[in-house]
Amino acid sequence: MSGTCVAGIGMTEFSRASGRSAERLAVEAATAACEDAGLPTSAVDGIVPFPFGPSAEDLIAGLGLPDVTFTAVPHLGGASTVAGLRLAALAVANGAASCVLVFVARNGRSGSRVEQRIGVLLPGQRYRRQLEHPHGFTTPAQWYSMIARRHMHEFGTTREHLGAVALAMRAHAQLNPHAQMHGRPMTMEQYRSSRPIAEPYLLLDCCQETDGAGAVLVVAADRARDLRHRPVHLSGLAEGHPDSPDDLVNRRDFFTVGLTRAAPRAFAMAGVTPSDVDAAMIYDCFTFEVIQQLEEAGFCARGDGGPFVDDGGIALGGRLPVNPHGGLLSDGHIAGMNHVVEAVVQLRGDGGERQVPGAEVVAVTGWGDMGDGAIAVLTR
Amino acid sequence: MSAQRATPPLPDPDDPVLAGYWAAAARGELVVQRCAACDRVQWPPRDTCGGCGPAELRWLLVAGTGSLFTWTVVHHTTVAAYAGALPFAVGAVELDDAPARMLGRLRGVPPEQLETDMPLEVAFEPVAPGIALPVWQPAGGGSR
Repeated sequence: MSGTCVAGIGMTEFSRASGRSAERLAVEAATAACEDAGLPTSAVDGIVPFPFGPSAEDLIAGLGLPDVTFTAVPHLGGASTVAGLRLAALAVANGAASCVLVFVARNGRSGSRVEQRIGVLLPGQRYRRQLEHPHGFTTPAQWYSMIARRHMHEFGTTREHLGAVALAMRAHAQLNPHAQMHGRPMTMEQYRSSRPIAEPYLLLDCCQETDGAGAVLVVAADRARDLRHRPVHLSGLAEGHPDSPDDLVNRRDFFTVGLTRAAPRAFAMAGVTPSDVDAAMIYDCFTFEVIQQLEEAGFCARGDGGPFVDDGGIALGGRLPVNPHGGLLSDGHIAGMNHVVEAVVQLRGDGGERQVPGAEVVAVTGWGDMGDGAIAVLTR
Repeated sequence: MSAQRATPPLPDPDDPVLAGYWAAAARGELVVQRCAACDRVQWPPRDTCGGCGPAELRWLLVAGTGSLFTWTVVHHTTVAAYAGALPFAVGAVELDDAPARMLGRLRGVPPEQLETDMPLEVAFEPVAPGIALPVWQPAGGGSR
């Protein structure tokens, strides 16, 4: 987005029970992002909250902000984080605000777990409640496992491919002390023997639930240059929606999702192609969604995602390192704000043991609801 | 024996958009929605036509046969009424005679014997007075 940057990043710790309110977590992450940028919290004049959790009003009160000129709430489920980053960049590029806070904060493990969130957030509640719930069909694991199974049938994707995603995320988390699965390595045997949840999804195909918060600050590039860290440019940003965004199975092309449409727009805006990307932060709510998004974002052809993730393809040192922080699967699930933060960490060169050498272009995807998508291309 | 049986989530037979579907199911008929203006079939039903907007929408009787497009096998549920039924399968069934895929519970076949594209037929399970749930079973295999 012409001339916008991420100037500050902030995170709380991740846990299963934070012991404090989501509002408090949000203020902590926001304060950390301002300190990281070298800006006072009073500099924040725009807020883009996640559609579930603390509101812009909560942050205005919690941070004592003097004059907020822009707020907006995206509604793309888990893709709202990346879509919100785009809203922030649009606001800054258009002068609606000069320093926009984008944040996600929740007690996703100890408080508002996923079934509570989707009961509020999901589109098509009529269909969920009447055509799905009476059949016992109620959870994201169940919906998305249906896409995975069809993909296995059409393209030969295997259990081992799903496992390769889970193992790569877990291995990366061993290099990230912040990750919830740090210190808990995993083998393919452990993956395969985990209990089934919604087959083909096993427990270890599913991301964890997390208490925690993350926040970033978006400012104009000319302002970012004078701040504490090397600016990270928001070079390409897009959102997209599938044909039937309120129904997963009745779309003309079963595998065409929001990201399929968004990705070419974001790459064109950034002036790069998928092959220029040094690392990708893929919204890994479940293992197969990584495979599908790698395909639909254009990192490989549709149907080739299984072989792409096999043999260490998405591990550090592989053809495209994915989620060096461990992702939702093994770092933690704050709706992918940790993916945005990790992209900035990598582009600053601050990844330490998990740094992708010479990372200059990083893509971040978001996946939500019944296939909504968003993507950001960040550059150094 | 004395434990109270949890009530499964029930549809609303008077829903302004889906009432015709539930009324048909109660009669043992399966219907999809078709636009009176452009003849476009749509599923799930809506109160507008995805092709021409605000139009008159009618119900189209279909044969109630199809093939299994994809499915999930549920091993974990937070819906108390289904806890005793685990594991069970829910499928997306591609209808033979209309461009629609319907979600529904699969019965009459062990989940491990399900196969992509296997032929299925609808059956109607009474779940409450005046409410029947369209579920799917192997074609020619089960009892109505």
